[in-house]
Amino acid sequence: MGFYDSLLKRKPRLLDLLAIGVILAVAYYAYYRAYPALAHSPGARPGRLDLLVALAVAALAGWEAYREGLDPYRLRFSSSLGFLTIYGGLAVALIVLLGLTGSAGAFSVFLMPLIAAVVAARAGGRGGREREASTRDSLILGFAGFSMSYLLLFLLAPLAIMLGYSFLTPHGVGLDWFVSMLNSPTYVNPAGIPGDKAVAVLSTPTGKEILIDGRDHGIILNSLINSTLVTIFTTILGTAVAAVLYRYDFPGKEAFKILVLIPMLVTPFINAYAIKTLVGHGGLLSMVTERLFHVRMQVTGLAGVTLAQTMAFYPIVYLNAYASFANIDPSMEEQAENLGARGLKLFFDVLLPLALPGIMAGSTLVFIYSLEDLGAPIVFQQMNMMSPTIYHMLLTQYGSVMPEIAALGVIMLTVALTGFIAAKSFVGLRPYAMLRQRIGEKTPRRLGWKGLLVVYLVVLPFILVTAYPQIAVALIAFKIMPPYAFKIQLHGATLHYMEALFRDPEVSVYLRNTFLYATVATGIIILLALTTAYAAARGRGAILEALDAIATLPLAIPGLVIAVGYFIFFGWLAQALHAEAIDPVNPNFIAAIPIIIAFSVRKLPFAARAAYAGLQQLDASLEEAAMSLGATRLRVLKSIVLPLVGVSLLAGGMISFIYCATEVSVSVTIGNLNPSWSPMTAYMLNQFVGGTAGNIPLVAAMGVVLMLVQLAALATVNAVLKQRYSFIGI
Amino acid sequence: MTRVELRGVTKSFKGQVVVDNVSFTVESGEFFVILGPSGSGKTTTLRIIAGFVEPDSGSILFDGEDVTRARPYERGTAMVFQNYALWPHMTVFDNIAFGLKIKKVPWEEIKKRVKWALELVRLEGYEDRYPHQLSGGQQQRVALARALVVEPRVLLLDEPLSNLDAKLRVEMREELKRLQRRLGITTIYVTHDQVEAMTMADRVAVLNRGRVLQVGTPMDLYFNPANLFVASFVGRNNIFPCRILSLGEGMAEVEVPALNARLRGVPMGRLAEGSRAYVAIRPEFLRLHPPREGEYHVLEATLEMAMFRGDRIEARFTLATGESLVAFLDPEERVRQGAQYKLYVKQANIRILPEPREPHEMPD
Repeated sequence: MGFYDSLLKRKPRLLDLLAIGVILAVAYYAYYRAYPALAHSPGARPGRLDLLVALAVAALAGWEAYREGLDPYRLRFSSSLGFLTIYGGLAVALIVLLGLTGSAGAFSVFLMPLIAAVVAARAGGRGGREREASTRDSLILGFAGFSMSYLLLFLLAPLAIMLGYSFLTPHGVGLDWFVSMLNSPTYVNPAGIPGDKAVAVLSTPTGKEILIDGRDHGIILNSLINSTLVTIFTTILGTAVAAVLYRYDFPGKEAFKILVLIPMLVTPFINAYAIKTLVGHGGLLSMVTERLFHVRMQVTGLAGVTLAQTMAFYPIVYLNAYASFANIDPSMEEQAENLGARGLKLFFDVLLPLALPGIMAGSTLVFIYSLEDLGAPIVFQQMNMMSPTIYHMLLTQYGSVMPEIAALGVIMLTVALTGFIAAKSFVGLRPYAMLRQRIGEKTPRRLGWKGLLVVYLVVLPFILVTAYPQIAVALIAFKIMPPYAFKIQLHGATLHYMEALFRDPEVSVYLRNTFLYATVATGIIILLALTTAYAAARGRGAILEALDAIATLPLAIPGLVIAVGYFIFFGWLAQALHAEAIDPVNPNFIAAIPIIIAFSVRKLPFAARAAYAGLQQLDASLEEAAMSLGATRLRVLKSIVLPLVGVSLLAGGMISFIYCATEVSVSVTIGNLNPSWSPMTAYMLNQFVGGTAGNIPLVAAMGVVLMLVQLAALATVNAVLKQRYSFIGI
Repeated sequence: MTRVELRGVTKSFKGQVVVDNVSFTVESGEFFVILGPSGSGKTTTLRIIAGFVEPDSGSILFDGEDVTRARPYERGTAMVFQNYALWPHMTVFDNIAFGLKIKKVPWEEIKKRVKWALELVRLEGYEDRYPHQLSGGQQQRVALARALVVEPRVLLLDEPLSNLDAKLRVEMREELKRLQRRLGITTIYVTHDQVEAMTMADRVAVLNRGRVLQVGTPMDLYFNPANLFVASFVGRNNIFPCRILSLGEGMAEVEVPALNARLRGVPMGRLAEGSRAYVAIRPEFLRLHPPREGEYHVLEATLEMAMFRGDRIEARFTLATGESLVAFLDPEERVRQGAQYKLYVKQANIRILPEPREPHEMPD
């Protein structure tokens, strides 16, 4: 006889959760208003006790509701509830973390019962196919042991040590760094700086200027606001473009599908720079607005960062959304149409809910990428964000590491992990999207003239603008475009910079380092991917099954957090082993070692997921048939598994390789400590720091090399796998 | 030639008992079928014998030797999977030769044995094809050849015919039976199709909800079902609840309210006077003419519907009580819908079954 039973005399329903949320939120808010003194004492922040108590009560109510028979299927299958709980969960975590109270606190109390019920449904409704392979299998145990110890040592240990460091204070151990950071307006400043406007109108002697730069809310809030906005924008844009390109047929569609992927080509720093030539001082935007309205309009600062990241990251959502739409059995759509659904109703009621898990996976990756991105903040000189702050603090370290960086790293990690775990549990909640039989043939739809107008006048210009940075990088590398403005000058075309990359020993060393590190790291990655994926796919038991999750985890960890962790970890390891070669602050530091290891951990998920997916598609009976004929596990691996999944493993390794070659976070921090070991991306960044821009065309040439490598790798993967590379799921 | 013995084998997945104290013995050279509805634990039982699943308790013996903890590749069983599990990257020859290569059989010998196996399954000349170039039936034969070529101690088949079309299935049934007879390999065959079980098996074990309900020859199961589940699962049956009036040697008299009749029939299993029971009459034992010998009962019924099936007429009759009966009539019989008929049934063909005591004895 539970609480609901006695009160309602029936099973709890979803609406009850919202009602309870409202009641608790109102109660909390009334209490908060009644005791304003409590609310405004700064020492009570963060994590105010009354808020936590209210949250706990609300969570208990939600959990109880599930236990008393709230139907979890409604929670599982409702996309709006899914969204609400994930982003609600994220919001609650942030509100508590930042110590916001008042109406923000009341809002999180309101959401809490729902979140708790969904989490309970997730935890309670688990189940799946029983795996039968025995854990007595020595090969599987060996694989698991190898991969587990590698990941423990080089992924979890550095993070754990960083966490430990963040609690170090001048007088012992405590939360001092977090408390002072979260209370300092430098980091968290919800009110903003007085007089700071998002849009400034300046009158200069040469005419009127409009500066769109966004408001400064402190380092942490700036990052959060920016990443949230980028996630929202990219999700909407990516899904919309995917929906149009997937569902409709129109002349030039294939070209659209190629153009839309161009922003996926990673050209660190220089692509943000190209966007700056478009919207910055003297850029195309200001030229156009000057001509039309006699006003020079510019996008800079935070707004510039948001714009640059949105342009760069929306194809991630696009790819995931497109793959998800393509995964929907057309008969589902046809059935809905057959019953009379059409247009937007059809899209929002049938297609979007079915594609949502894939879209969510993409959005979450964008959130994390945006959080760790260094390129846009550095190029737009917006240093008041988490990633450039961590970068700056790391490079100004001498001798010992300040716990303050560790604390900032922990905050960044917490934010990223919260989003990742929430999204992952959401994706895990909806396995039905994968439940499909053979996919029927899709009948493409013709667009009417209105639709065609939208496609050519809205979608096409958008795609062209987002593809502009990569095109501009190529033009700058050959000096067809000057590095500082939007202008085409064919007579200046030269191969000088491309040649310099390979001929100039001072520059070619960076090229060599990059490809050396990426190649060695990819070798390690393929080994790790095979061992983790095989142990996870064929082994039994919670630990083995968790291996796949651990191998995916690096996706959720911002590169700069790894850099901070490695900086501390290797310094500590060097002391313990008396090895100056791995001591980051020693002049004889061989940066290659930690960089290669960092690459192998950070970019593992791409290959590991590919290998895992390949193994899951490989029917276990193929292996059992061999075993029943007398083949041992090792023999099965060699004769059956490798020939059949080797291709996906190598394709995954190829993807890992290109992401190693374009890696930024670790390369520009640890890789910058000893220039002779620096990879390309470190050199590229160094041209943008310190006021004036350095050798931009050379950086662009490096960008071109990186793009060519990516194109070659992706073309190979597509040719080998005979399918379009779709972005990774989580 | 191997004798396979299961002793009290039990297996649960996530707290749910899938195989519940299963014991049976498969004699050397026997064609043994495990028959049961989906979810009855039959495939898991087979996988336990193959070594892919370790039982929680109980043991498996091959010729008296305990192999419960032996790895799959140490058991000398060969399994044919429902989806054939042919390796897509190997030709027919390589698929079949795989097990021999593992055993390090000399190359000349391998070629000879593969040729022999292909002749056995009538696929000579297909050595260089890849699995995807074969039809379903051909893939099935390759899978069989791959298992037979290693001369396994025990041949295990997991619903091998379920992916074939009806005509091919009948053909393969005969072929399998012929091969098994010829080679004399101890064979354990899992299926949910009772026709397969009846036609191929030397003996059948009927499984439901993880428990063995009856082990016997196909005729045994058909004519003398030990319980209600077997009576209803194997073949068609007209089953009605009844009460036992008197119990004699090999004969029981029961009161059947649904038929508004007192019937005498052969008692099966443990019955007690006065207790509730079930009466079972197979459709083919309901005739339109009185039998020449033996005692019989007569039931009056109206023909509601008759479906001509070629080898018989499937007729549905309605009794005065409103209950309906299915009877298989001689195809040359001319019947009229809506007409009244007298249905004759010999007492020796009526079975009286005990009331189920446990859920696994309940028909679904």
